[in-house]
Amino acid sequence: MSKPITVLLADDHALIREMLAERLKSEPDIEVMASVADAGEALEAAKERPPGVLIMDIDMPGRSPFEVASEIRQLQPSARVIFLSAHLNDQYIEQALESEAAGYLTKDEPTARLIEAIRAVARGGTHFSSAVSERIVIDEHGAHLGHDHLTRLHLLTQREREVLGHLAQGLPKKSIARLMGISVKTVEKHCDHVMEKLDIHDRVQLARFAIREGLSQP
Amino acid sequence: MAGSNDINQHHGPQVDPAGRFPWGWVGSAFVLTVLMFVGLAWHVRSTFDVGREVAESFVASDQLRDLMTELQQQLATTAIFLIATHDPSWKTRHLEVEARLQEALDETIQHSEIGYNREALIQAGDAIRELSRIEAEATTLADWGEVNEALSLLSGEEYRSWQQRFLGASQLFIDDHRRFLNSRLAIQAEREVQSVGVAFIILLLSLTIWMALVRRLQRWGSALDQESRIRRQLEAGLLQAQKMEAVGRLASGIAHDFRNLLSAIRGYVTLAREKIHDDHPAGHALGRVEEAADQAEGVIRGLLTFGRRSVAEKKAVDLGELVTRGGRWVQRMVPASVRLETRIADDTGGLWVLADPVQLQQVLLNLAVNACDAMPGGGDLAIAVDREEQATPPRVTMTVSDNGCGMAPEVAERAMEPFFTTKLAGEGTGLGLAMAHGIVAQHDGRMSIESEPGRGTTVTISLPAIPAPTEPSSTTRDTETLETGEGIVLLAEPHPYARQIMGSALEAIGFEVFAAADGCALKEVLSDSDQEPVLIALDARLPDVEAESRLLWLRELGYQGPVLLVGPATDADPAGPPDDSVILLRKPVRVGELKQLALDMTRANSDRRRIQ
Repeated sequence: MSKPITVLLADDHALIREMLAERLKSEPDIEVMASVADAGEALEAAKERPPGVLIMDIDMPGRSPFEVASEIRQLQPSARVIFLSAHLNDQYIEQALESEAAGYLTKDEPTARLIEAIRAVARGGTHFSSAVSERIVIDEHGAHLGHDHLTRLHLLTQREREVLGHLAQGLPKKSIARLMGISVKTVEKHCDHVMEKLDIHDRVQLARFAIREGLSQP
Repeated sequence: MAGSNDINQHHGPQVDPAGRFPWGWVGSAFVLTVLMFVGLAWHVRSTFDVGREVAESFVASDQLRDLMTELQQQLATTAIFLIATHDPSWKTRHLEVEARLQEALDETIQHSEIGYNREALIQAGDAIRELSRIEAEATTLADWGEVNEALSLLSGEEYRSWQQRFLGASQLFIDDHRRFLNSRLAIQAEREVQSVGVAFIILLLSLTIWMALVRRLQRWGSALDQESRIRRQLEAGLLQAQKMEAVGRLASGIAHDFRNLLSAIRGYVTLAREKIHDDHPAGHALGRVEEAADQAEGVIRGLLTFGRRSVAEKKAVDLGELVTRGGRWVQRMVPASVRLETRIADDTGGLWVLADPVQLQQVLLNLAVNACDAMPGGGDLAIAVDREEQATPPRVTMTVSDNGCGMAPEVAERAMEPFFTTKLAGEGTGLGLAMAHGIVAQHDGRMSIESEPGRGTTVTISLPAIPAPTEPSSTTRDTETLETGEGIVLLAEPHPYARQIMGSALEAIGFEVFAAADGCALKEVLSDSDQEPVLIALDARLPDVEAESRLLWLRELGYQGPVLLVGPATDADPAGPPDDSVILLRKPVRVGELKQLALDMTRANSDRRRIQ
């Protein structure tokens, strides 16, 4: 009999963690090596014993699961990561693809699909929710989310995002310049670029865009 | 009163403050005003000085004339008394008067003011001297005892003539001096007129500048009013956006946690089902739990859509066509008492937007359902799609109007909040408009509600327009409904992660995939395979295969089947004779597109073989 697929479960919801562990135990070719409550613990567990497949929730407190996934991939190149999330989010998908995740599933999918995914990735393949899979784009640099699906936020530089965040808070340009340690002229230039790139030309729409993208907290 | 709630109010350009404050002009006006007052003060002072001088001069000249006249009379009187009395004291007094008169004249001539007629004074002096000479002669005659002779000299023609000359010269002096003073007064008056004229001009200039400033201040005042009005609108809009965002975040958070719990419930139900027989009495209860979970899943989806946590499959969509098609479903859904009218703007270029058609249909249905619910006794439901002509950049609007019961302003204001409903319990979830709001916002759109109680409601959705696509979107085909493929597909892709994803995608539709990282590995797989592959998907830039000869290389290996060359966007078409079994797919490649092409090519190849 071939070696079972070792699975490491990381989810801050104990109910789900325990349910998944119990469900996976019933599969003869799968062995749940550990179940942990956050990404940091998952990293520690993976360091102790490399998992075949790491199933990791995205919305967990503590360390970023994407960073941890990348670290685990560097430490244990054979370990495959499947992200599990309560909902699909373009930025999550993009980050998952950047970390070369083997899969991305949502929690509304039946557990049987997760088991199917575990087997597929253990064989060296990938398994994504169909809504994700259809929108993956392959280019010279690997796999990404098609740009149609990204918000226009990705068009902005970090500095422009900062300016947009301050603008959305209702700060005058002078205060933004003082806060960022740049001249008012530079702030105005950033504003012009932001408006041009986002094709938004009034302050309310800019503020709404910033709020929507999480650059400004209501 | 009409209730209005615009979640994305659009405002015109901000009022530009009317330029910098014109400090230069204010300074000029101030300097001119100060100059005017200084000039006027100086002028008053100068006029006062001149007036005083003239007055003093008048008095002085009068005094001088009076003095000279008096002294001359005293001189004549003392001479007569001296002749008549031979009293030496009269002689002394006579000499004193003579000396005083001469001194007064000499002093006046020596210190004569500007405007004094010196000639007249000299003539007066000469007359005095002549009178003195006659008086001296008379005195001498009196000393000789010829008193009558002496007195006749003093009353003689000559003496009177010199007296007249003296008086004439004195009068001439006075007249000339008065003329001079009058001319000074006239000059001063002229200057006064000039000064007042200049002051008046300065006053006019200052007034003009002040008036211009006042006008500008008024303009600034109205601009400020407009600015503050726009600011209030902006703040209200922002507050609404922040409120909706906060509610959206809350809804998403709840949905997120709720979905986790549901996931556990469903998982445990599955576990429970595995542990019991199909006919176990608990099976029915578990089925009901699953049903409840499915219903809860629907609520969660609604909340996630409102919170924009759902993903949109955006592509070029003709909103006019979408509404035309959607209108047919709406027609089936609306009660017979509701008349549906659909109007699509006549636009030959189409009314294209970048959107998820499924989500937009959901918005249309939600709005139509709400409109029908607002017209329980029947009414008119109008759905219109137009191009917003004035908008820059261009936008396309979809309007859903009814003439139902309408909403009060406070209801319209909260209409887009999740779980806010005016329907009876069980008749609505209160998520319809909230979802529509979330979807519209996710499409960078605006949604506004105009409603008037008793008159009806109009919901307008405005989305950014895009140019009509030149070719049909490749994502219009739903790969969920793809047929499955069969047979071996060889995949050669140098990027490991891309290879895994492409391989898994092809496996997911039924192909058996053998993947290779380079040409050498591909050759090995091809020679080891007992069965001929139904398709070879080959990256155009395999490190060990020359781009120009890749197709030839494959054919030389004995493979004659379809080839899918996946190459960079800049690559030329494959060299060699035209071959309909070869397709160049340029990167970036959508996984869905790859799957569809693989199926199409293998199907076409098997059809070709069947015909042969």
